[in-house]
Amino acid sequence: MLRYLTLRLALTLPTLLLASLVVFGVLRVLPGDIVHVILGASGEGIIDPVQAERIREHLGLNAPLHQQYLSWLLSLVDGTFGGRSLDSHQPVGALIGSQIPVTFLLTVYALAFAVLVFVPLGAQAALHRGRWPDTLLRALAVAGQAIPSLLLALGLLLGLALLFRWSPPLIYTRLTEDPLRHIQVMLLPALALGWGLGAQLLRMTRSSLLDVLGQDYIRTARSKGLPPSITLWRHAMRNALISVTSLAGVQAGALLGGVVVLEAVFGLPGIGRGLVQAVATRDYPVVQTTAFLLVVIALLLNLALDILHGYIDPRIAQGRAPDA
Amino acid sequence: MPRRGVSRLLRAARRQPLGVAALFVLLTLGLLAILAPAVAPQHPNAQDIPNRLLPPGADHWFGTDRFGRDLLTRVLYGARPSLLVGAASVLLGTVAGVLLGTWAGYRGGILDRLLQRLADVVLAFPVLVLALVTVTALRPSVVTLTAVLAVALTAQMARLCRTQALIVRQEAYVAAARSLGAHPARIVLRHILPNSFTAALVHATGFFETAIVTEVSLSFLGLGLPPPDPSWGRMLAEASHGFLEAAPWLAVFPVLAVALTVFSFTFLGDALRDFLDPRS
Repeated sequence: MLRYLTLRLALTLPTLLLASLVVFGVLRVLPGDIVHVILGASGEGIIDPVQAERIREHLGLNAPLHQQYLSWLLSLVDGTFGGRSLDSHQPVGALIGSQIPVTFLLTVYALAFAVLVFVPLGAQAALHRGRWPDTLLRALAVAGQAIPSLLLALGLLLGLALLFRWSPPLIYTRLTEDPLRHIQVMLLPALALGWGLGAQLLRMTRSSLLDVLGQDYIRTARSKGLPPSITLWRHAMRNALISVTSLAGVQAGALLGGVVVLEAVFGLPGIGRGLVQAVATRDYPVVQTTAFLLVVIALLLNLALDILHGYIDPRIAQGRAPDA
Repeated sequence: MPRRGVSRLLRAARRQPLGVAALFVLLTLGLLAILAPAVAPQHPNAQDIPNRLLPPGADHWFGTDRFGRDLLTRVLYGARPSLLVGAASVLLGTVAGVLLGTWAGYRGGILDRLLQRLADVVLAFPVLVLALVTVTALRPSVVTLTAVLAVALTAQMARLCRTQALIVRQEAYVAAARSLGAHPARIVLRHILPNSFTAALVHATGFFETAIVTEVSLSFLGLGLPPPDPSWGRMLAEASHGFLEAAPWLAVFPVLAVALTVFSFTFLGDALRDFLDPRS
């Protein structure tokens, strides 16, 4: 297991480094002077050379490229995270520090919703294969998988506004401040975010559980008189979940894309909305660090799932093929 | 052979009514988007302030927005950026990804390892984040969005086809072709590539969805193609800022348009998979 862990980490690090190079490169090397873009965002027309020079100085754009890149990388390690925001003049580290808890909670709620609701539903679908609960749940899964979270969120808002004249509070409230308002704020985005992932989990749980239920060892467990619930959860689900966790890894990127959009829709002050605002105002140090942070989170999620994968199925950690 | 092909297709079509319907919807949508100047009742940016925020009716089937612009016209025109960016990026990304991935998988070696690391990096980015970084540096345009999405698809497609090529290159018929002195390019194109066809086609259909959702999301966030030309995403954004209760049709029709498109691609993809791969 330890060797597996080290190997996975060793594969992730170069990818991370290259990803930071891509973020940096896209923002610096692509044609178009970033200073002109920044100044252009606050009104078309003439660009004041003095102001342009000041921004250039502030961003350290006069240094050679490799030096700029290295100092940015170092700032990620020493906690200054690329300096200050051009827009609010706050240190980027403080800005992101205040955003992370919001994004983290939203993702956790969405994941909890997806896993706790849809995995058991998938199990139910498998147990009632071919009968009406199965048909109903599969239709639900197809619909959930196809509908983008942005549309689902707008649909929910529209429906609630028209039917109940209710719309969620516009101002984010922390869990510790007022739990009830916090739930009101987070409920819809968490549902919209978790739904798509949940639908896929349902499908995957159903099909892999059906595979497992046909195996000999399940028949053995049944015939030795184990209660069905123990057979299901201890013997069947553990194996069915292997393919389910590998699916979740593939979805990590899509989940984070959804976070960005939903935070913007619901006005949640998280990393995603921060990134969108920074892109809109060409707040370049914030874009650079936040975008890279999202890539880091996506990679870490994948890594965590790989490790979970190795834990559930020790054959993977030992480097043996799961089908052998 | 063509006769048999047609009858096989008809039989498949009967088994996949949903897929056929989806294909029909998508072709109609594409046609309407291309012909929008001819079929739309009005000019997309023609304002008519006295008739603003009219609910759907005989004069304006989908109603009008806050500037009195005809919503049906704007929904029709709004399909153009989404479908154009989607089609262009899928086409480019598929061709590039299939060729690169198949070639790398067949040849192996340094080129393969290099491409794999590059693909790792691109795949590490959520597609929307990659697009956001790019539109920060370059202004959003059809070309920029197409390029970003094509790069993302190239990486996904290359990964897919490489795996296929790795499996197939062990096959006896590839060894036979090689020992007969066939040119590597011929082996790749004639013997390796066709094996990836099904998987590539299904994945490309699925990516169409990703591309459209990304374009719509960017426009919704105010970071897509610039106004005043309509796009579904910007219409959604305008509707959701204070008009959900007062003028719900402003949100309903763009939501339906995007949902119809995305659902159609999903059903088409599922049908293609079943049609091309009878094992599953």
